[in-house]
Amino acid sequence: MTGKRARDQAAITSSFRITAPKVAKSNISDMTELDVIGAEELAAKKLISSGIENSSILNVFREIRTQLLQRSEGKNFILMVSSMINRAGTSLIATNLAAALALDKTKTALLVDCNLQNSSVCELLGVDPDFGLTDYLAGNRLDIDDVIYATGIPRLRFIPIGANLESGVEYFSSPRMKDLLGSLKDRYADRFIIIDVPPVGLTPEARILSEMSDFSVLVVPYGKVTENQVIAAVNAIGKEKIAGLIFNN
Amino acid sequence: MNSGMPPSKRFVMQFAKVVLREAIKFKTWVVLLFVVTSLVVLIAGVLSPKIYQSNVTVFADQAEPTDSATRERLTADLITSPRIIGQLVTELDLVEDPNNSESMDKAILAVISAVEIQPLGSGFIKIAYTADDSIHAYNVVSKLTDLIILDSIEANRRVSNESNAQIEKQAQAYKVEVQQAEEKLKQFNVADLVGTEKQTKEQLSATKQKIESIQLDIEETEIRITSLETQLSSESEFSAPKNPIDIDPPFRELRELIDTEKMDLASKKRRLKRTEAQLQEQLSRLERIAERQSELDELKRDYDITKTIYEGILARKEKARLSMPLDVEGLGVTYSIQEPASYPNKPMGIQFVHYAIFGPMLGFLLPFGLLAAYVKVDPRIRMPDKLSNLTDLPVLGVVPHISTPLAKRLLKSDVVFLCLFLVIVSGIYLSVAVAYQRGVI
Repeated sequence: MTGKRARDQAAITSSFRITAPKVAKSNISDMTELDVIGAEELAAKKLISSGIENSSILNVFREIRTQLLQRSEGKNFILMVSSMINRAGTSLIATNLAAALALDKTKTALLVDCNLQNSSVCELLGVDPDFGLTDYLAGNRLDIDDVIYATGIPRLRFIPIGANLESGVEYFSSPRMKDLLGSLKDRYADRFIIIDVPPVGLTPEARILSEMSDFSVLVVPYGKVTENQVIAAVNAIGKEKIAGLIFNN
Repeated sequence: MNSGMPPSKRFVMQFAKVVLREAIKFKTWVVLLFVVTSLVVLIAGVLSPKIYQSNVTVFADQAEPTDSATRERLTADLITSPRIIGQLVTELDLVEDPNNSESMDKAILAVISAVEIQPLGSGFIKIAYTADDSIHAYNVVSKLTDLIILDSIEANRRVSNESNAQIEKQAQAYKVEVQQAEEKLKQFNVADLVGTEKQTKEQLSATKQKIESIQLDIEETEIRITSLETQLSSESEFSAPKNPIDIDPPFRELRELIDTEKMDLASKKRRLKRTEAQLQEQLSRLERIAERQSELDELKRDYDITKTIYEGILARKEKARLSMPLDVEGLGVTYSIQEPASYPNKPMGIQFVHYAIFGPMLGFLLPFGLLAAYVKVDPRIRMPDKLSNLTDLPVLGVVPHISTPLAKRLLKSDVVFLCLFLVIVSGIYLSVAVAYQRGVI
């Protein structure tokens, strides 16, 4: 499958499930956008938007965004979002954080799905990708732009996990991964990179990827983890690398 | 986030929210537990034995002053006496065979163990009987009250009758004595109608005067005779020795005069003697009269005393007749009902209504209590406040629980179903409760 087919499918706009076109433009105004998904449709998937009815949730993410920007002193950053267990709502929070950053018209957000198992972001964003991160890391065949997809949310881009899942861990710890993240961050000063990572402690990914991130947030789900689990996760990553905790009701 | 609240209140609010959330999560269990608990309590209410208590307050009175504690003790002794209880079990048919002493003892003990005697002070005593049947409890208390009242009346009457009989006997004896004294007095008066003392004394003085005048007469006559004889002797000195036949006529005349005077004197002396005898007779009669008088006085005194005693006895008898129950000797206690035996309409203690109300309350509280305990005990983090105290890392945000329309719809249908279930169960519950309360079931 190629980007051509993806572009063909982009014409089918009545459906939310479309293949996004590759984006390789150098600035925001030039970015190719899909038809914008309505606030209601997003809300049905628990995703925030400026037109959301329930503004309290929007305000929560705006508040988190503000705190993260304070920590980075307004500069763009690579943020790792993880948790202690699966099904903690990490992907949703990572996506919403990215969406919150993208609400600002002077910023773009790039969500990188690093869940080798239990990846749910594609479904969440309604993206049906041809290639993803692991495909890019696996070889030199693909250009970075081949794995960046538009989402239906303005200024939010998405790199799916891809199909090459077997050696994921090795790929993540490879210099290519580090280079990728570095170039993604450095290429555009207004691009904020959010990486959605499997739980700390269950897999080594979180620890590896936290090294490559500027800082992390840990999602603490309601009624699922003990205090000891939280402390263990914090210690595994290192307090200095953690911007804070997010309690997910 | 209620960041403005004081921490304790905020904690309570968060805790309540968490419990509510868990309740929604476990809603089916909550509803089932509610239903089961309510029904179990209701069934317990149906099955729990009902205990009825009937009670009566009696007042123990006594003519003779005794302290109320003694009266209360006597009453308690009387009530629990095998004689009274035995009468009770026999009259109320509480014993299978009244002639079998063993079954009789058993029945008596059973009744005594359910009787409760509570002295209320000042001679008031509360008697209560507890049973699983309201009519039985009422009957026992009523009968017991009747029995002790009858018993006390009987005992008092017995004592009263004994003393009355004694009074009657005395009265009879004195009546006879009074009659005898009266008769004696009557006879005495009839026999001694003549010769009262005064009459006799008057006769006596008349007799004395008569004697004195007779004696004076005699003295005069004797003086006259002496002077005549002196005259005669002086005349004879001159003419006597010559011849008696030649008696001088004046001399003879003098002699005749002396003879006449001497005859008169003799008759006067006889009269004196007679009158003196009369005086003697009168004196002795006076003596007799004095004797009779003292005898009469004695009879009169005897009569008066006997009569006074008799009248006193009659008065006592009358008094005893008029106020028989009060004028009692010995320790007989009189009972009066102060508060009549109550018919126990409601069983004692927890009633069915309480069960019926308590059931749903417990059914409501139990699941929430369990959830609260579960939330408290479960180490998993449910409150963001716990998180902020855990590490020195900031809590960047608390993402609220978001329900998608689908989830809301599912929850709504679940809630509707559960509510419907609750309504049906409540209907059954209420009908069972009301039916049982009205005695239909």
